Amino acid sequence: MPGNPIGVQPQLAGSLERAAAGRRTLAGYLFLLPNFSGFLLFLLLPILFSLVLGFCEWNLLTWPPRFIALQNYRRLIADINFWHYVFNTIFFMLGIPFGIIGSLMLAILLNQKLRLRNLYRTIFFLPTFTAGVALLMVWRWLLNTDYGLMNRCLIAAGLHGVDWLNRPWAARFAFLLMGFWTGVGGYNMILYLAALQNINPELYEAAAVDGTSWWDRFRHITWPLVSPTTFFIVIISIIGGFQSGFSAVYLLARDTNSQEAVTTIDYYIYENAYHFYRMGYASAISWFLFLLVFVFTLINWRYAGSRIHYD
Amino acid sequence: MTDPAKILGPLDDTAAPPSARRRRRLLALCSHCFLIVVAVTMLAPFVWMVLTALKPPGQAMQNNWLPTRDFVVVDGQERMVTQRARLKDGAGVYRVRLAASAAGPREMDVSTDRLISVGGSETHFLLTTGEGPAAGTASATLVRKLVPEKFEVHYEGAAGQDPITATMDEARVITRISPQWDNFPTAWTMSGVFGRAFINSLLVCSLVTLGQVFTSSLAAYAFARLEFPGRDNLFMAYLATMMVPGAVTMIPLFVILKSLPTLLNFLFHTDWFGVQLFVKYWLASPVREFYGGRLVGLDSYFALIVPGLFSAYGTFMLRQFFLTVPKDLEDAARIDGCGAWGVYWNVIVPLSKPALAVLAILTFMGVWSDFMWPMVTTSTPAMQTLPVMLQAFMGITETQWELLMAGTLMVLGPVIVVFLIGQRYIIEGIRLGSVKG
Repeated sequence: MPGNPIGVQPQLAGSLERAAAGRRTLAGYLFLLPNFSGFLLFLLLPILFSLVLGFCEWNLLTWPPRFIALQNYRRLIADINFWHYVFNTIFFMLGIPFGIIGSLMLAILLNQKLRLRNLYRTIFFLPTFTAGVALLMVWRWLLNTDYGLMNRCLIAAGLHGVDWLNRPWAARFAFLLMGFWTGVGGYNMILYLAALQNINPELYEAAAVDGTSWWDRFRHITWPLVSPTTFFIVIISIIGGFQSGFSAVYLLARDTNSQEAVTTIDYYIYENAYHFYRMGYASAISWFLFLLVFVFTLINWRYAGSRIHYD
Repeated sequence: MTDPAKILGPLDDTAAPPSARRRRRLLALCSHCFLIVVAVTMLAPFVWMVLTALKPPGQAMQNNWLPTRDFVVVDGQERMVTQRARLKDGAGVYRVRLAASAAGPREMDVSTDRLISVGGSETHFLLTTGEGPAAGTASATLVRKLVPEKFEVHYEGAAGQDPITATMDEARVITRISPQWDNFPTAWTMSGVFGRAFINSLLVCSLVTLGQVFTSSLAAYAFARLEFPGRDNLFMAYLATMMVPGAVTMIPLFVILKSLPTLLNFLFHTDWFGVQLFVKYWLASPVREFYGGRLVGLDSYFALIVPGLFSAYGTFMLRQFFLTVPKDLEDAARIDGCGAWGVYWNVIVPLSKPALAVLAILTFMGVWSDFMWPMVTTSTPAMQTLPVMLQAFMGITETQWELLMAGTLMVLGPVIVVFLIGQRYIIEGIRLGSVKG
């Protein structure tokens, strides 16, 4: 409280100030209370519970869970299936660079003064907006071996139809394609569009006067200036990539020949928890997943973060 | 494909020489071609879904693209073919629906491929009875040829049915594009809980969105502007937990919810928390009952809604936005006698409407399409949300793709309409949210 404008005695001012500070503190806690109680009950408490469960064996029926120290983690390291699913999860992340290139390309095309620009943008964003179980149903039908759109197109083009969801590599490819189709015109494209609109056009004019080629302009102006966006997208995609796949596997590949080939870590956690009732083991896997996410984000931060150009 | 130098370059057309202008136009044309190809690829699955949803039963598994119906001309009128079969010798047989008589609608089986000769004379024109392909044969007799390719026939029909005399055209099956609108009501009733799932999804999504925006904005205001001991440490705790995958908390949360009724009953020495809710309501004269799930625990609105009422991410995003609201306005409000709540409600909320809208949109989208959590916490059909219901519906339809697609379209349709109406606002909001957060 600067100065003493109303001429109250210093002692009284001090106590008033203390009372006001007390009120502010109380207000702070009260404002925080609704959210913080949720944070405590539905995030912090479960996190701690999960940490404990990771060291236990528990099938939900008996109480209490049996403490088995590090056995879940030992078992994890020896679990060939698990490493297979880690491989699958990382394999699906190979789609990320293609998605990023596609998004940037679409954003560059849409950054021109074109007629129907907004219409294109709307159509490209539609799959992202509608993504979910319903869209996966559509894909189930698209990928149908005998009557699906994909195979009809292939046959119309004079090729052979593919048994998409029953052949491991075909299913993997289909999943990559599905991810690419859903995401390429989504958040990443919108972010790139925003980044491109922030680039000063004078930079391109100056470069054009110097007679540089389009590739040079892309390499020396566009790419460095959108690099913070690229960095953000890479981090978000990797964090998301490690945790994805549950719905797609559940709805498209469950009980098919390709289930093993497309199962991701996320699905394996679900399977262990709700099919085999291995709550402890599932928790251990989920902590391993956290570790993976954490390490990859850290690596990104260290190696890519230093090369980013910020204005 | 195009000259990307032009794509990247500035777009000032006024001073350009004619050759450059021509190149620019060519470039725009090429861009359009490419963008149209991409747009068609994006839309194709949706179009395919709609086309399939409108097909008559079984036609999804035939090689035509559009939903069609076959008609046969009987008595000068086109009659819809309700069923088709092929005889051993390759002749096509069609079951057509005749106009309703006093005894109700009547069906007749006809072959339009050619006259089917029985006993050496081409007198028998039609075969089988109206009660299914295996019900035995009765034949219609050729009465006379009126003109070439037009016949009068006499159809006995099944026992107990009046014989029919009709004229019909030979070798004429007319195929018309004809959507099967019936697929929608059929899918709706077949699932049984379609309407209920809509209500559940709407209820859960709106309450979670409202609650999350409200609690997150309160907490964000506290973190951004109020001073109290431990504030920054608490905020760091929020940030740290944002790294933890949802899979980590899902299992313990499930376990907690599962045991919550027992736990609460034990703590409070009652059996109150195990009850199931039945809400009576009067719409028409009979009193109806609405099953509201359990009070707490699995299969309850509590499980679907309450864990979603707060969000570390939302708090973080809104805090970043609130920090940009000018402090002068807040001071002015304080001088006017506003307390913390007054400042929040009269200054922060009105000035942060875009950010609040972004959080609302993202939350609604997230909850609407969430699959795993509602699936593991609900087992009663009445408590399912749309994604879970659709997944269960997939199990019933088996190979009836037209019904599955009709159901899918009923789920996706409202979403697509909402998106088309609000797309500019939604996309702009997402852009703002992503850049700020």
